[in-house]
Amino acid sequence: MTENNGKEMVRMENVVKRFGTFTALNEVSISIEEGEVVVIIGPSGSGKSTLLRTINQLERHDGGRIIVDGMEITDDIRTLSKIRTETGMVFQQFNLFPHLTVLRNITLAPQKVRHIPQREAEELAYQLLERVGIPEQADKYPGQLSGGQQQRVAIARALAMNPRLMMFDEPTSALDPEMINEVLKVMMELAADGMTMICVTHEMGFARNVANRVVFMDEGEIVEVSTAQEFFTAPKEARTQMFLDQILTH
Amino acid sequence: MTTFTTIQPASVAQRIVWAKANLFNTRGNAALTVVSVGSAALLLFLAVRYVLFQANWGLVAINQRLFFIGSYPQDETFRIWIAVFLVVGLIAVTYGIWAGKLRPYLIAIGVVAAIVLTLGLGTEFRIEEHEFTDVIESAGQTQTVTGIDSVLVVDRGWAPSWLYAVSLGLAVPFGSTWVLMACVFATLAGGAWVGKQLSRWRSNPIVLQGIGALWVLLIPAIVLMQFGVSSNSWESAFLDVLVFAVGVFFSFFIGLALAMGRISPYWAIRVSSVGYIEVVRAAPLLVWLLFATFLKDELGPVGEAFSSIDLVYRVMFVFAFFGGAYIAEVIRGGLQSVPRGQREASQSLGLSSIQMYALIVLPQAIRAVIPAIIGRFIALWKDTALLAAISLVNTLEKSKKILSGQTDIADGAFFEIYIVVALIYWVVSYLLSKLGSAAESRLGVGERR
Ligand SMILES: Nc1ncnc2c1ncn2[C@@H]1O[C@H](COP(=O)(O)OP(=O)(O)OP(=O)(O)O)[C@@H](O)[C@H]1O
Ligand SMILES: [Mg+2]
Repeated sequence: MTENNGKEMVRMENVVKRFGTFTALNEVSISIEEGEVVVIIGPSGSGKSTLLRTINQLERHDGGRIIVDGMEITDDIRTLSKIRTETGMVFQQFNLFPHLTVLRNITLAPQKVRHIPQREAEELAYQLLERVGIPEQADKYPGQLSGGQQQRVAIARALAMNPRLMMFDEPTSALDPEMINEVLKVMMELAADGMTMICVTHEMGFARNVANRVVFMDEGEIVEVSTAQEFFTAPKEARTQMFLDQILTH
Repeated sequence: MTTFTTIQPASVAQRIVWAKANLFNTRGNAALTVVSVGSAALLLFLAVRYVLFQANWGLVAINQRLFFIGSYPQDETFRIWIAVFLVVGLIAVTYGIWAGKLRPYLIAIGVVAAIVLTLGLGTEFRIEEHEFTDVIESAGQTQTVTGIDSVLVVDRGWAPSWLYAVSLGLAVPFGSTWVLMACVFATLAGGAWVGKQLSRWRSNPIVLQGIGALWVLLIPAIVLMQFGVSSNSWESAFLDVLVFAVGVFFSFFIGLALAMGRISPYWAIRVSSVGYIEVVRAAPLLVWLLFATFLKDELGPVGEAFSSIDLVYRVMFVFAFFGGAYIAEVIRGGLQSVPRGQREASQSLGLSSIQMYALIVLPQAIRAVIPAIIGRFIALWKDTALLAAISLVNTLEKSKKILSGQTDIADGAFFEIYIVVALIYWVVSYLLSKLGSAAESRLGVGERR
């Protein structure tokens, strides 16, 4: 199912990230193509979040190369800000701006970073709210919404920057069970529209049905990369098998 | 065992039951209740009796002007009146825009205006001078002495003395300028009405930014208006307010800068911010004020330049920088209270550091510490009392001067004078804390998380 048009969206080469003496990412290499949906799974503390966060440099990497959409991450602030505008990120805790209305949450970055006029930004925001299924909440504050609604606003906020890559860090882990599906539905639609996506998630259904490839991480290393099909039916590594046994029996 | 309940009982019968269960359940408790209620009642009675019947407010009344503007030149008082109208107008408009109901506010102003204005028309103070003749015996000889004795006469007109006493606090600031006073009330009412009309657009950023800009410009404008009047004649409450206002204005921005400096990516800025804050907070304000007063050429050309500035400006400088160190710590607390996720979300959207702080982090941080900031401002306001210690004539110093300079009519009215001084400090502190809680509830919108 991989749409291989050959364009590389993310390339990581031997990326190392240390926190003090602890190595959170150990020589991680991976290449992700445009339009691909990659799901990263692995036990807690294995470095999944850290991997995502080095891509938009919420964490600086200590070694190796990271190239996003043809731009290599260096100390150059302009490249970094360009990469950040091109990559949307959705967090486990939503991280909406509580002092701003839903509408303002969405229009802020397009106006301030992309210099889109207010009216245009608001039109875009209403379209996106429609797309994530909550057009009527524009004037509320984040604190007045349910968790599922907040996460959908967070997705709309990221999409408003018209990103080329979307990263999700356990977007459904903080949600009540009945709200998980509304968020997954939005993510699936996004994938169907051809968005390049990297998702850290424990939703195995989503991984199985939507992911082109699944990455299994453990102890700061990428243990295995395979198609979703292979991953769940015929894992290559013993560590993967053990992990799968653990989570699938629960 | 007794069960304690704090729920307000409804009927009288229930009240009695409640009181029996909670206040008179044991002998000891009953005794405590009787003693505490009794002493509170006694204190209240004594206070009321003093204010209404015993106190001699005459000295306060004839010195209204000295209390509020001291020896500010008579011909220049228009500058102060302009400031009063600007402040009052802006308060009223802001209130009208953001406060809920207009009617209770207008009624309150009407009542106060009626009392103050009619009282003003009815009350008159004058000093009558009587010639007197005394016979003095000294060294076995009798001598006849003649002189002039000043007697303060308070003619209350039609107003009963209690009404006079109650509204004294309001009548005092404005002396006998009743026309202007009426205009002040009109401004309070009219401004609120204008604000109410504007409140339709209160979520419009232009209204918000406009009002905000006016408030920010207010203090510099008032200070600029004082140029032309020598700072030597800034006295009394006017001096206190001016030093406080300038101190508040600059200490906020200095504090903001220092708090940001503490988290700067540059080592030198971080270290100097922390160093500054620690040094300034290590000594009491009075010590810094004394330094500012007596510094001459100790610091070479810097000291010379500094000491050539008017003392009042040096004092404002000290207030701003002293207050700033405390505000910095308060804002730092606020910055720490903003979850890290807010910064990460801002960064992941591509906001620059400046945008992140200006639009996301600081608004939340400052909101979180408004009560603490207001607390610092109230402390700064009361610190203006210290000006008396460096030979500036603030309200406190002026009141002493009144007492010592008018012994012929002062008549031992120490307590009355200091009550008014306390009242002046209290009114501003109270308004500040009101302002704080209003700002808190208005700005807290949507922060239910
Ligand atoms: N800022 C930090 N300082 C120190 N150690 C950190 C920091 N961030 C992450 N780590 C450590 O790095 C390791 C990897 O963290 P990471 O958050 O990437 O794991 P994860 O796979 O996302 O785990 P989880 O499933 O619990 O979210 C963990 O052991 C964590 O303790
Ligand atoms: Mg994680």
